[in-house]
Amino acid sequence: MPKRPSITTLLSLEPPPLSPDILAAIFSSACASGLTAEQAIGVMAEVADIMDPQLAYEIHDTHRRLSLSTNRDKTYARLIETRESDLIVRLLTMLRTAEKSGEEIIVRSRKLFEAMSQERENRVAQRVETYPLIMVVVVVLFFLPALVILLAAPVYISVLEILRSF
Amino acid sequence: MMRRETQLVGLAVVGAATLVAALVFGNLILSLPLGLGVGALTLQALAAQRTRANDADRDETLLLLQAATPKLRAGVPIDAAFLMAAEEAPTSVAKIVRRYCQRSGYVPPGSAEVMAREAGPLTQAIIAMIRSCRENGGDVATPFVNLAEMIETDQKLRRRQDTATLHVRAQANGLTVIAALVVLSIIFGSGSSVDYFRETADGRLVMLGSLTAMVWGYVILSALNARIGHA
Repeated sequence: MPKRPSITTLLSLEPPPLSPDILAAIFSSACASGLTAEQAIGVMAEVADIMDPQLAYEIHDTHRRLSLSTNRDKTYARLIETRESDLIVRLLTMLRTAEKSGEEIIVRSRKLFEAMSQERENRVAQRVETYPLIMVVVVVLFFLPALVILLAAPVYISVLEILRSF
Repeated sequence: MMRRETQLVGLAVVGAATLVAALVFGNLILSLPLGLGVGALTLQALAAQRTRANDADRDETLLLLQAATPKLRAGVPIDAAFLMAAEEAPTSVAKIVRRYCQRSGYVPPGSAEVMAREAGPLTQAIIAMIRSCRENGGDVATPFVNLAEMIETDQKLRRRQDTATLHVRAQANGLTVIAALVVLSIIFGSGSSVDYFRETADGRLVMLGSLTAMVWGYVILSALNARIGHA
């Protein structure tokens, strides 16, 4: 079940963490430098520490569990089931498939980054279409009544006073 | 998780705004929503400032990588390549990376992390990758070339988002200006219409309610605006 966003996230009271696809980019780049998948996850965890502590915790924990694993496939399956972050789930799924089929991890991790960027672009496009409509509703509910009251209340009171004077 | 200083600033603003509103409008309990709204707006402004700093960090990191990658491809050692790149692109990110590379031979344990934490997440990424390249060797140019390409892709996406949300932001700002003008005319204006808001208890409550509605309206508009840009 997806986690409900906190009030600080909903109201944008703190800066949004860097998009997780940057972490995917870092993972891919670390793999391209010749690191093993686990070492690349380690680099990603170091970067995540400063970006998003909650995500960093999940990455560190995943890294630790993979390092201690004696049955990698089983560990992958369990981690994929229990992880909350979409990035980690997709990364683990990719690693599991690559390990089974023997595919090049550099190419696959780059594809993962590109797919995540594309999804973000689609999400932004969707929000650009729907959010202005929500904003109009906010304006109608919050701004217009307040402006109308501020502008019309004195006039209404004056009219009442004039009518009372007759 | 919000930083402790930010939480304290938020609480201080909420308290001050509530107190001022209570003194002006004569009702402490009804002033609290207005104070909370002003506090939320302040936190949003601080968050926007930090977001802009992260964006600047990303742009500076890209400049540094664009200067460093040709040297890495040409076979220059990693520390020397980043020192040369820092000379070519003397930004604040370059300054931190240069300090890290200058001390490459004798970095005490843990000090690299302290250094990286002075900068943004991407600088941290560069420093982590320089360290891993130093420790593991291999092809040192490709990861930085890839990272530069990916940051460039991210930058293009952000620019497209900014352009797409321009009209929405203009709409929100325009409405705020209109609302601010109305409120200012009531506070500083003269005449029987503004006397109603200043002199009568009902008038003050109506003004408090209207201000609260507008402040919370702006909080929601700002939140939506920020969320479009960071999907």
